[in-house]
Amino acid sequence: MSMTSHGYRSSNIKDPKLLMWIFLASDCMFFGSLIGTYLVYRGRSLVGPYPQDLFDIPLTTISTFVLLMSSFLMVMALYYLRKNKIQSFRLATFGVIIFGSIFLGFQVFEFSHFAHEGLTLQQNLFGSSFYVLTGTHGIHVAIGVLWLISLLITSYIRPMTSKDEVYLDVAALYWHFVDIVWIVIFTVVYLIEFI
Amino acid sequence: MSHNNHKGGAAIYVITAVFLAILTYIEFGLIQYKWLGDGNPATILTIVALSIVKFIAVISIFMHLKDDNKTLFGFFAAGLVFAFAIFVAMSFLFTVNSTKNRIAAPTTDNLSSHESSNHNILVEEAGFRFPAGPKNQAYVIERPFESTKDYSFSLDSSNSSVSSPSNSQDSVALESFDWQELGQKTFNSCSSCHQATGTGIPGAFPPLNKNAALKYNSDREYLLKAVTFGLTGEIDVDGNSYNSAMPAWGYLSDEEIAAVLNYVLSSWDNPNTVVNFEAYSPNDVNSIRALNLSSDDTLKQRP
Repeated sequence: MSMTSHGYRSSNIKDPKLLMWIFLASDCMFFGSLIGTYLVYRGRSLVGPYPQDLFDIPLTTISTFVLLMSSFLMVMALYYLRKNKIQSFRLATFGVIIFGSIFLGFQVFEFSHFAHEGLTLQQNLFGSSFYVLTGTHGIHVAIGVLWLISLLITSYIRPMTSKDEVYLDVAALYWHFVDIVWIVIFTVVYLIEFI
Repeated sequence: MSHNNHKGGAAIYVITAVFLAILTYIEFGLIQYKWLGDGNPATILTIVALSIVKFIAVISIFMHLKDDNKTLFGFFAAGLVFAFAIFVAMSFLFTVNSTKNRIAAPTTDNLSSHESSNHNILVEEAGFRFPAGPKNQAYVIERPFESTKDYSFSLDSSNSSVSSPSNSQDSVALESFDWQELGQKTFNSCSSCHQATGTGIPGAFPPLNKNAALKYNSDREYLLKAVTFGLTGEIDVDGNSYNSAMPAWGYLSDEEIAAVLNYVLSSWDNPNTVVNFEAYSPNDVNSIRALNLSSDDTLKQRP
């Protein structure tokens, strides 16, 4: 590990990576409270539509699958960059961007369908807690997509080598985190309704 | 540059991805095809366990936490612990039981069965409002207040049928609709324009004193429409013209709208003007909501 800065370092963790993990820890608490809010309000809506009227498990399973596979492509992109295989890295990153966009497309479709069925942010406790939780997650995905697009463009405007890996590593950590949040949401919000 | 945290080839990633896909399919099958049977409690345990396994697989392999610096794991674990603590704290915060102010649950027939276990809703304590949007009439369930057929309304506050605040605590709004206090409180929202004594402001805001009673006499439903849906455009009150906008107050609860109108109609000179006053009930408001008017419609339907 190269030490470019002066002063004492207690570990050899790169700054961006350390900061990203601290951010993810705080984001855990953020999503923890949103999921907690959703569960506390679950089943307390006095007017519909209710979750069971709206949720489409096959559709949500597909979007869950898409997000999981995007996570796989993400880790492959990092793997190829570390091997200095730039073309493969670009292809994998492009795949993540496409899969992330498909996921967002599913969410837009889902939200507009739900809104059409009468579930608005103000309709009931389900509406407000559901939209705030999954909407916040969707914004995270959208930010991740934009971030990866910027990294992909960077790879075309200047030579990208394995030295850039920490930047991709940090973006990948963020992307995987968004994926694990969805793993929890898929179970706690969607699947539990149909047991 | 040491690459201590990514030894091995890509095979581990492929295996993990296949593993995650299979687990997701199992979760799907458990729910969609009821592999463990319908309503089996083992299903919930299994899907929670599966999602925890997926969670751990992603953070340890895709995020390399398994082989990475333990400090990073420490940060993330602390975040997870705090997140869980927040969740537990919230669960306790919002599930405090109370014997007071508990409102009877809606009948189970009107609700989808999956929510039947959560019916002990403390509507009063939580202070939530549940607007029954006219667009969604199909979903509007019987409200707790509607379960009592006989509302005992009276303009005379000394009448025994109106329970005093002290003994209404145990059966709030179920035995009687105690609108006096609520109406006065809700009227605070109106008095900034219509003034505390209902005089309004000449040229800007029309008076409620006397005028509200006259409108009631012409059309009992009009006042409900005006409050629920608002009113825009030029109106004439007692020879004076007003061209302003009254906002729609439909987000207030049925009880608040009924109470504030009863308060207005029983205040100032209104009781002397009103003919055959029958106090509004929350039910009246609920049926007006179904009309789903605009503030322009209210103007057209103004008597």
